[in-house]
Amino acid sequence: MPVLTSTERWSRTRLRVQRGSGGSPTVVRSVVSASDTAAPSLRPMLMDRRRDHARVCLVPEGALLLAGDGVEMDIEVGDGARLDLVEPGGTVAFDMRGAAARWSVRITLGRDACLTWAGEPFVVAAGADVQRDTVIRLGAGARLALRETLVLGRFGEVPGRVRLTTTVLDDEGPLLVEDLPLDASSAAGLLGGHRVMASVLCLGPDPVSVADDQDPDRYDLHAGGTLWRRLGAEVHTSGLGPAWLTSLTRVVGL
Amino acid sequence: MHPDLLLMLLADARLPVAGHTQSGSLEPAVVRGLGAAEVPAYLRLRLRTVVTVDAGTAVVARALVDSHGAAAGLGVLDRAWAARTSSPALRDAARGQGRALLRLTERLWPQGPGATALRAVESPPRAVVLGALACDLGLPGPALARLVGYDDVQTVCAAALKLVPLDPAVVTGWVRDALPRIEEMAESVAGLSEPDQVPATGAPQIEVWAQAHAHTTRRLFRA
Repeated sequence: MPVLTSTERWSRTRLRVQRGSGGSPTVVRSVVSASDTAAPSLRPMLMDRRRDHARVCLVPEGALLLAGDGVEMDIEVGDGARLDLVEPGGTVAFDMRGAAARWSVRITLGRDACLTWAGEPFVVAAGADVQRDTVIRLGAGARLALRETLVLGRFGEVPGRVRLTTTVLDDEGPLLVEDLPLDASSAAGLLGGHRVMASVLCLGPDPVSVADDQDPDRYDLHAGGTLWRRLGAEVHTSGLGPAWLTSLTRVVGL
Repeated sequence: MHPDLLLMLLADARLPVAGHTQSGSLEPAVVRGLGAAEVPAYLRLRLRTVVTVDAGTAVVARALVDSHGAAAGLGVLDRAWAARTSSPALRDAARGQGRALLRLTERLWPQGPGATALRAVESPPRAVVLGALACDLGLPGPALARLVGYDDVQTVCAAALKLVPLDPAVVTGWVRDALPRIEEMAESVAGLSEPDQVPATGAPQIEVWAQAHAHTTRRLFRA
């Protein structure tokens, strides 16, 4: 992790979703705390709330993501509840001129809980330096569909620096653990010089059918679940649209 | 038995563990345009990423057998390794190599606690088998980590000679030049002892190549 000093401006968004009792709508609670009023944050905006699910948009407040920012999200979906998360647009980590920022997501899914998160591109501009950590814990029978797109550098720009860590666990142990230290020099090897890495992660009790096991972007994980990943030059050619639809269908039974 | 001799035995390409079927994903890389001049950088990329994961796994397997003997829970380590190896093609290749080394272990060194602990794991990858065997043979952790790094460098370089027209002396020079990187990698993992400490430094581009290779029938190397 980059060394963070007391000059860090941080915000923490806690989002709790629980199944309503006796046919009442899903309960959504959120709290945003921050080091000071100027600290940028992600504010959950409730878009739809039904008996069996809630839909929330994570709206950035303040300029994201700048030197010294620490943005934390703590998302918990209770037993049997379902949350659909969307974002209004992508996020850009800007030139930090020697300083750093961090972006940390913690997801906890209860028994038979479900989360879909249609992430928008996360762009690491030249000069940015970001520690981006994701930790996901799945309860028994929990399901997850998570879309992420990492873009190294804005158009025509060299990549910024990002250390991307992902840890996914269930009650029995790790499902996926990855640590990618990416910057202008390491990306040449790790990503074969590509600037876009698109991923779709689909986890849950029902495995994706083997009918399309010739899909070159598909990685079936050892302990269950599937990761699709594609490396590309541009966001629009690196999309995993069909994989995302497959995952949504699998996870929420559309 | 002096550990140096056992190390030479395990590092020898003539060991009947089908090492000649492996290219360390160099074959799909060359098919997709990786040139001979880029092979040394490819060796370094592997040492920083997938080889660090495998060497870390081997060192932890050795440490677990060292501490817990035949009761070492290598299944937990197997899962930790698999979670860090998201490509099914890379997992299959490693488990295939594990089977070959396990057969040899059962024939030549069946009595040790490591050999016993391995029987509780279904199809362990080569790194887990090698680590458990290293403990039975009394090889220290740093030597084991160097062995994993050296074996990978030689595997890729031997494959390069079959895939691209090259002077063998040039390729041996690549191996020599990679030795300090092997040492660095070995030092970074030599002290690990628990499954959750295994590094998770994947390489998405190598995984893409490995998957593509598994889907083709026109190939010289299995992986």
